Amino acid sequence: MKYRGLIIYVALSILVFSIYGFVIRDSSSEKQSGGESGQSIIKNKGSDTMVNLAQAWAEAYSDISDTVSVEVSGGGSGTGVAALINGTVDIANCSRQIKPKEKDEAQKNTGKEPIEFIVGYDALAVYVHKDNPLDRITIPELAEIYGEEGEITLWHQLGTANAGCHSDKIIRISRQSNSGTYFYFREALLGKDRDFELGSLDLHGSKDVVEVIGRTHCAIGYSGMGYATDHVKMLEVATASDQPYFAPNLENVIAKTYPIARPLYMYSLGEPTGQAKAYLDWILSSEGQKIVEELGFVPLTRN
Amino acid sequence: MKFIHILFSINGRINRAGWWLLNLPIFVTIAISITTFDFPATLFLEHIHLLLLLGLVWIHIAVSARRWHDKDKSAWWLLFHITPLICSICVYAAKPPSVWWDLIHVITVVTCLWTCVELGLFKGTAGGNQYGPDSETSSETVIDFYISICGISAILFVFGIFFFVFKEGAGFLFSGLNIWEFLTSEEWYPTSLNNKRYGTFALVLGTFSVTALAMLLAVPFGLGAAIYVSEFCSPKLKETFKIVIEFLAAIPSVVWGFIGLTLMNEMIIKVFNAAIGLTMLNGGIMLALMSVPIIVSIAEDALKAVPDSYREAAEALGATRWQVIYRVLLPAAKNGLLAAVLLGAARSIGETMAVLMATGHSVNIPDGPLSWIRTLTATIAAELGEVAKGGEHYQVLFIIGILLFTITFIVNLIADLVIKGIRQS
Amino acid sequence: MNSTTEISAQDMFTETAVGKQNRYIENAVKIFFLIMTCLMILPLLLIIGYLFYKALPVLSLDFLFTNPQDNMRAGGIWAPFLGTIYLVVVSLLVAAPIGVFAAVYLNEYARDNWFTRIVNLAVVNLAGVPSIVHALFGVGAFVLFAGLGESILAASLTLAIMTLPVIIASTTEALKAVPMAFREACWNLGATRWQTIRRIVLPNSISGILTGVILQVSRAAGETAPIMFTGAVFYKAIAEGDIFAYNITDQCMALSLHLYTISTQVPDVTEGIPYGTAIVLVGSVLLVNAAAIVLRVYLRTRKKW
Repeated sequence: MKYRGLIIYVALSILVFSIYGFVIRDSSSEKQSGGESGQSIIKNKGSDTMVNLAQAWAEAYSDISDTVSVEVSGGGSGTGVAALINGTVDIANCSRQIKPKEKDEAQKNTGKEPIEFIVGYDALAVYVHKDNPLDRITIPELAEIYGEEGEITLWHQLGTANAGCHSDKIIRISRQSNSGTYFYFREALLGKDRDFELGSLDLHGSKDVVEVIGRTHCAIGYSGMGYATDHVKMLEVATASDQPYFAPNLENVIAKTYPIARPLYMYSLGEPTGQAKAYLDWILSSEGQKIVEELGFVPLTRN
Repeated sequence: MKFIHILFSINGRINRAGWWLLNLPIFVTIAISITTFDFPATLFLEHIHLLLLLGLVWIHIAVSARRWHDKDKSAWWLLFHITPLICSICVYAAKPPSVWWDLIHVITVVTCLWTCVELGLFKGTAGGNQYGPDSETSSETVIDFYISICGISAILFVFGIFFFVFKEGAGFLFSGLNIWEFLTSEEWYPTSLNNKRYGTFALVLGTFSVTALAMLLAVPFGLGAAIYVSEFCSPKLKETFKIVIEFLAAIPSVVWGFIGLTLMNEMIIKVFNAAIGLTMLNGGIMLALMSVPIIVSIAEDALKAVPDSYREAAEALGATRWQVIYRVLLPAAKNGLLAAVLLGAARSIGETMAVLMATGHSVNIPDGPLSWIRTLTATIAAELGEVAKGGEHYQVLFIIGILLFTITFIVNLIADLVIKGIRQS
Repeated sequence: MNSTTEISAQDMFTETAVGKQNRYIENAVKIFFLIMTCLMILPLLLIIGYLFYKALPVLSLDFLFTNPQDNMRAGGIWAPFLGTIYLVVVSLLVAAPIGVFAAVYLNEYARDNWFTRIVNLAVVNLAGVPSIVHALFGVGAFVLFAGLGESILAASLTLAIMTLPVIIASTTEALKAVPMAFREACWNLGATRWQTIRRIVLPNSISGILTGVILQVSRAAGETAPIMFTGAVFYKAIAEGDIFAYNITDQCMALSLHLYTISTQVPDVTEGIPYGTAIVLVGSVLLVNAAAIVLRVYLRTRKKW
């Protein structure tokens, strides 16, 4: 038994060589030749405003293409851009335009430039309870309601008697302070120099805002116009009291007359290729844009 | 010292079972890190991974050397599988695949399998040999080692939690954050464009006020239930109540939040004619229901710990049940009851989802149970998702985490000391 | 009997006025505490009943086995349900051995000294750390430092550490219930410490240990905050009926987070669906808890000492 070790060694060699030859080689060569044909994943991350939309696209796309699975996560525009900079996503959703600094960082980090696609528009509607007699509001009025040390805190200051609201106090519904919606609404109302007054209900979801307003006679709030329900009313908005009022609807947004609307962006790293390109092309096609409209956002063109 | 010897020394002997016990976790770790992560990239880019893997490889080498000793062979036999392994890694790193790659790969696999068989399956020499006595390190010592590691893991985790949360927040904590303002200002403007302010006073107040309200509701009911269960119940009924209380404790916090958002919201609007139902009261009721099971079970333990002779003595003196409870049991168990309340409060302070969904989430100094508030936990949960990693706001959220950790740590510590106090007296 | 007033035998057994009053007080007190207990239990029944009533229109086996459809407004909960199972199983695989061994250490190995007291204190504090702080830890340690990224693995590890105290506590309880005489008998036969643990202590406490493991499952399944930032995602399409649909380095959906998102972020959800999701979540958690209770009762009837 002196050579026991050696015998085992030789036996194992033969075993492994044969296994290696027959199995591993085959599978690895298969993998090399057919790398593209397997299930591939498109990672899509970013804006919470767009997450429903992105999810709807992903779901619809999975019916069209069996080989591509789109992984959608929210987290906010900033998260999406950060992931793009780190090169960990294929497509970033963004409800604001990417900043030049972020563009440079992405270029430096990954060697590729973020390419911008406008995939639709989002109009922020100002909501009140459906029994509220108020029908229209101006941006300066909104600024005084929401802004720091604003002067309007009671409903009658807006010239209406909100009968359902006993205290007459305006309850401001807002979003958590780092959501893209919050940023955009604050900038549209107050510019860059003023903050919102604290003490608003900073809810965590666009739907939550509308649901709470639907239950609350005293409330006013803002959310995507796609979130409207039967329990709330959207106000017509004007940039100033002597300007015309516009209702948040498709025509006004596409004609760019409704004052609180913004484009929605998707960014890819470098010119998209392969599956990501196919996906983006599909999103921009009429089929993808139909979903935009279904979800209450505004498509790029009116069909 | 014994454990360092087990892991890192190449002197002495080890038996088969010991070899497997130490090597299997290493094989599994390396296999997972190779298959699930992009192997060479993570291995060589992340220094920490490299360090970890090198440590594991050293343990593997040391243990294998001792195994060779156990078979009365020199540790130089290791070269048989170490050399091809190193060559294999080098060739792997220097892609593209070639004939050499294949050849060395196969040789590596063969030698590694062979060593596995030699070291893992065949016994060492019986009795002592030139490297030491028989089974100088046995599997038992290795198991003792694992058990001890798991035992102290709790300490490691607590320190780990503090360390990592601290690490993410430390940069801003020591340079830039005005700690006085952080604790006393009520202005929470983390995303202001020109005047960022990080004051958490309103959030701290929110956390404590909703906790106080929850305790106000939970403590009487919790203690009452504990007294009933421990003093008045038949054993069977007691068992039933305990099961129900366990069920109550098991309901996930997000479900409580959902109830608060839907059912309780409407109820508060109807009953109190309030403008909005997402209030401190709503959150307080949810938290009360969540912390009541803890209060009941710990208070019941405390009452059970009061010796029966106390009750018997009191009853023999003609005291009624109520007098027994009021004059004898409550004073005797007061430390345990205090601990129950403290642990219930700690639970409420740390609760996240229910308060995020039910309290209105508004930075506001509360002026009554129907005002809406925001808590520390909910702030982290709502804002961490969308914050740029590494930025000031991100770090402030981690600093809030440190604050929360400290608060609950202190409350738990006090509760623990209070309980210890009973045991000693 | 030196007393001047004779007490007849009959008087001794009839109730005095004071005694009667005491009995009333006692009954009143008893009923008072009973009401308090019931007021605490009532919400549980009410809530489950309410959820169930609201969920009734959507509940069916299909609900469990179809994916969310139509922008999560309709369909079922297959993807989040499977995700929760993945998270629970992986966290269990990590937490169970560590937790059981830790309890063995505390109960069988540790001497009564300052170090053991610190370990015990650490366990208590680990149980008291808020879930959101665990989430921060998960982000700092697993997602960023260990480079796992947001993945099932990172989320499960976070859950594992969070639920560790549950296993440690109930395993310790179970080990303590094994009489010392068993161990002493074994030691006297010359068995080593590990042999005693393996042959005597663990077999005699296995039901208690399993109870702890089951409770860990129920705790891990319900948690939301720790997985929000470490691995759970808003939406991910997976194949229906394929139980291997997730990869451990992917992100996944989870029931608890799904309930949160559809109740706060998705518009126009079919009314029953959030309630259905809630009832499935509560139902599975309570079912798992019931299993633990049955096991405990079984253990008690089988106990020979």
